[in-house]
Amino acid sequence: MSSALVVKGLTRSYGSRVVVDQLDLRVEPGDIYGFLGPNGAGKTTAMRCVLGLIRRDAGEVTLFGETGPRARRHVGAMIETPAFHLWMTGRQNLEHAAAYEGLRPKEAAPLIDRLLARVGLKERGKEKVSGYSLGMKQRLGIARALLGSPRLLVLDEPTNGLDPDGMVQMRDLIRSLARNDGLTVFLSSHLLSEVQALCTRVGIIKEGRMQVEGLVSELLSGVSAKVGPEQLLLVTASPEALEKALLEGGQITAVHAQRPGELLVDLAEGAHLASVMAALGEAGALVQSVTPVKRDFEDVYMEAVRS
Amino acid sequence: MTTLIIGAEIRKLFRRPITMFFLVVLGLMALGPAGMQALVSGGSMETNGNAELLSFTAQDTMAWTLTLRNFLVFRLFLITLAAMTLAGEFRNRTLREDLVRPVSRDAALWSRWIALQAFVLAGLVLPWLVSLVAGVAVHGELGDLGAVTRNYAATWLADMGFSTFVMAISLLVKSVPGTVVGTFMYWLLDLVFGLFLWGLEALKPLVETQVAADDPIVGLMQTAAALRPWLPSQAFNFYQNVNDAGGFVWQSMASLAVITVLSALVATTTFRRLDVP
Ligand SMILES: Nc1ncnc2c1ncn2[C@@H]1O[C@H](COP(=O)(O)OP(=O)(O)OP(=O)(O)O)[C@@H](O)[C@H]1O
Ligand SMILES: [Mg+2]
Repeated sequence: MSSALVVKGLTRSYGSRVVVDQLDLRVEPGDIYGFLGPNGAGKTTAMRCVLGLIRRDAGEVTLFGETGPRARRHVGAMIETPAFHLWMTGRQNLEHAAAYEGLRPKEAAPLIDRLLARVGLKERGKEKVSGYSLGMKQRLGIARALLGSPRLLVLDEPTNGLDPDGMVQMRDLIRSLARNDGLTVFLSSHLLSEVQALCTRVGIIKEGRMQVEGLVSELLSGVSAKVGPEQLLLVTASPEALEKALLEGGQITAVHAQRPGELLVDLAEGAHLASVMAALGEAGALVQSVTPVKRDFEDVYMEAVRS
Repeated sequence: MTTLIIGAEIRKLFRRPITMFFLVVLGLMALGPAGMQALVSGGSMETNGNAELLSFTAQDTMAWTLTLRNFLVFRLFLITLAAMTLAGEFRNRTLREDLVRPVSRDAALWSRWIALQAFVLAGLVLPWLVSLVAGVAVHGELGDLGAVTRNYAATWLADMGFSTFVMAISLLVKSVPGTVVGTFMYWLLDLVFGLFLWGLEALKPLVETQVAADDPIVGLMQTAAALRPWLPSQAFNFYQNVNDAGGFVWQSMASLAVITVLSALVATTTFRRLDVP
């Protein structure tokens, strides 16, 4: 089966500024691909190129093995904040989009009903979009992206501007679309926790160039070696005694300055939570709590972006 | 597929509150001439010392209505809607939402153009019908319906060319106020140039008494006279020159055709290359 999206050598400049630079990426069917990078890294620009909204200076974009306008029938997209004709109702906006998708009104009507229900706008579909909240527009945007029964969803910061509840709902919707409907998703986001929770693969770009690309699990397992040792956060009434016991026992290699009564320690090679607890018990040191400091996606991201 | 898009664009345009407002204004406006004629009809007018009885037919009502419609009113409506459909949709990003779909740029552009033509047609048929009914009701006499309808038809061609021209400007400047200003600038330029040509033409008899017939200045003035009917303003107003017998200034009509085709080419190439945010 051909890849859902293949981008090869994509380059785009604005004036003399190269915004997307020789970008390569590949999204396989079934992926939820997280596209990350700092503000201005070129994520939206790359997505616009993928969708044929803007010209590319160089490079190739293939959608399920096809190129050109017709290839977009496989794709549903929501770029930045979705735009609507405010003087029309939510439903009328979807009918308009359905025509562009080549759907006759008769075919479109039941589909629109289903999609409005799916994004929780069944009741409000008859209202003018000018009266919609941002969250409602965002959900209507997803419904519109799903109109052509796409195989790939391209979503540019789909949770941007949503309240926490809205974010969770949007995330659940995307997850359900991927799991239950078998959609492939290519999404950009600044929310690393969201990406970690949602995505199977990520690509991190900086100044238009791909820095790191891979499976989330791979990147996470690779990170501790590169970023440094695992750490523990200890809370205690007698930090000095505790530090001495652990250093002498060879359990830790360094202690970082922390708030009074707290110790942040780097674990030595081979040491782990249980061995530390055992050493503490032997020394009779009193500890109120021990918390492993997890290396997470933020470290992967920072490493990629700071290098 | 394309017919679906055209249908969608027409529905979208006619769902705009402002479109409906424009049509209502046109309908009301079409009642004006009948009312005015009812007031003055039966009176008399001094022409060259002879009192002439004023009497009208529906044909006159329809002709006055067309003049009223074409004097700025409709063109202003057309500029506004063309600008909203192209530059406006570019700005508020709804153009993007159409173009992420599996359609060609040409289909997205020309279905918008066709929707504008539907508005042009509605903006012609409505005054035609309203003034016909009002004219017959007030004067009881039809007159030459065919002749005045020819003028309406000529207006249709002129509006088609004009809307294509505005569409091209709108895509070049990519802003709604810019389109209005741009069209106004063209109009001013056309006016000044037209006046200049007219001046040259008017001075010709005077100059001819002063210089030899083969003097280059006389040739220049002849060129000016020949050039004037080709001006865009003459082209867009060529319906004015269509007389009751169906005769018209062919240069203006040819000029209209050239402007329309050129505008269509500019619009198509600009739109194909347009970076849509
Ligand atoms: N139309 C434009 N004209 C000039 N520069 C542009 C244009 N669009 C984008 N840029 C520039 O290109 C760069 C990349 O922008 P882009 O929107 O792709 O970044 P992004 O990764 O999506 O950022 P963000 O996370 O803030 O959405 C930015 O520096 C931006 O200023
Ligand atoms: Mg962006």
